[in-house]
Amino acid sequence: MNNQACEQVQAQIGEYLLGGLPDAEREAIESHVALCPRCACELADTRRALDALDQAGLAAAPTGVADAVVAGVADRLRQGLRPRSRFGWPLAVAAAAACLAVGALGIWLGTRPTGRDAGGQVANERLVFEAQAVVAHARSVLRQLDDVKREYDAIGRMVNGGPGPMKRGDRTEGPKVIGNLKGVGS
Amino acid sequence: MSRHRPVAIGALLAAAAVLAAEALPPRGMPENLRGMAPEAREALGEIRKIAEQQRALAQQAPRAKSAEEREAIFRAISENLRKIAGLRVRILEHQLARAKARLEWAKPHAAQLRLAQVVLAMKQAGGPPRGPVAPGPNGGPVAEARRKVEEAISRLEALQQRAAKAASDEERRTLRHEIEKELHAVEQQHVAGFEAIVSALEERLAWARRQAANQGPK
Repeated sequence: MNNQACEQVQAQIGEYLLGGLPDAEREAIESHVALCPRCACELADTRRALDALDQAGLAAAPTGVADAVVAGVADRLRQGLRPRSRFGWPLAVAAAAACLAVGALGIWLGTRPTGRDAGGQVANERLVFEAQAVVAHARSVLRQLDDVKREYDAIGRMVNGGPGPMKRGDRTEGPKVIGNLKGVGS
Repeated sequence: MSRHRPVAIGALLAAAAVLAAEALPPRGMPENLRGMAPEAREALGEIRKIAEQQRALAQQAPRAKSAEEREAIFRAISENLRKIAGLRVRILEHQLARAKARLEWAKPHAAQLRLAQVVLAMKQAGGPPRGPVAPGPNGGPVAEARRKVEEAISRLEALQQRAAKAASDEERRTLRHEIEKELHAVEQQHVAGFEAIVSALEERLAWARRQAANQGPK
């Protein structure tokens, strides 16, 4: 497809989707789009943006540009004021503005956090916090286990050994004293 | 409404968490179960004093000038050893009683502890504590329980990363279930560690009693 034909078709996509083109031009666009993937893509994108605009009831648009333009075009169509020619500038300007507004709205709708996404993020943050809370609890359990173990070891050292791990020199003086007194009292 | 829904859900969940946590018994080991039993501490003080006496007697022994003097030192040392053996049994009995009381506290606490309660505790603490836990003593009766708690912490840290990227409610439910499972695993090891201490103290007490019997007056 040549660039000139594509530019012409893409300039008319807004009007086409809003039903503002004469039958011959509408058919010409449909024939072109059937053979040109780039324009088919452009048409699909603009249609998706328009659908989103429709679902959002226009009220969700960040500015009043989109609804004002679309409503203006729709009024003209309702009144039967079709463009005098395919290059009729008032409708062309309106359609271009509508395309821009619709494109901007599409980008905004596509990138803003929707209620569901924001809710998902909140739920994820809560879940992360829960996991952190259990980690903090597990660490407090570790400290408790360490404390009781240290206490056990300290008692073991102080009460002169017995079962369990003992190091050399942990025992109190009793056996050593007895060793020093070998033969005493005999 | 959709914009405020997450806030509303968050508020409802927080309220539910507060109510659930209030319905549960308070967290944390009771004050009277922390540290060494006072009777054991007192007996340890006595053992220290006796050990000092033993040192003095040991220094005296080589300088004894007569057989009678040596005999007196020997008797004093034997008596001290007998006293130490009795005190050792007393300390271990009190400490075993305390370890058993801790275990009795830990068992129902572990069974009743809920995720909401742990979350509330961290909120009250103002977030997770900073800094790692100092490495604990190696080996001994609680080493196995300690190792398993550390493994649970590693798994929980991996779950945190997955939770940050959860894409659906179903995935979040699965992750929450796994977090609860890890909390349960940690509490199981909490009890297991206390049980290990009870067993070790029982074994040590049995040994101390045998020693005391051998040290008895002949």
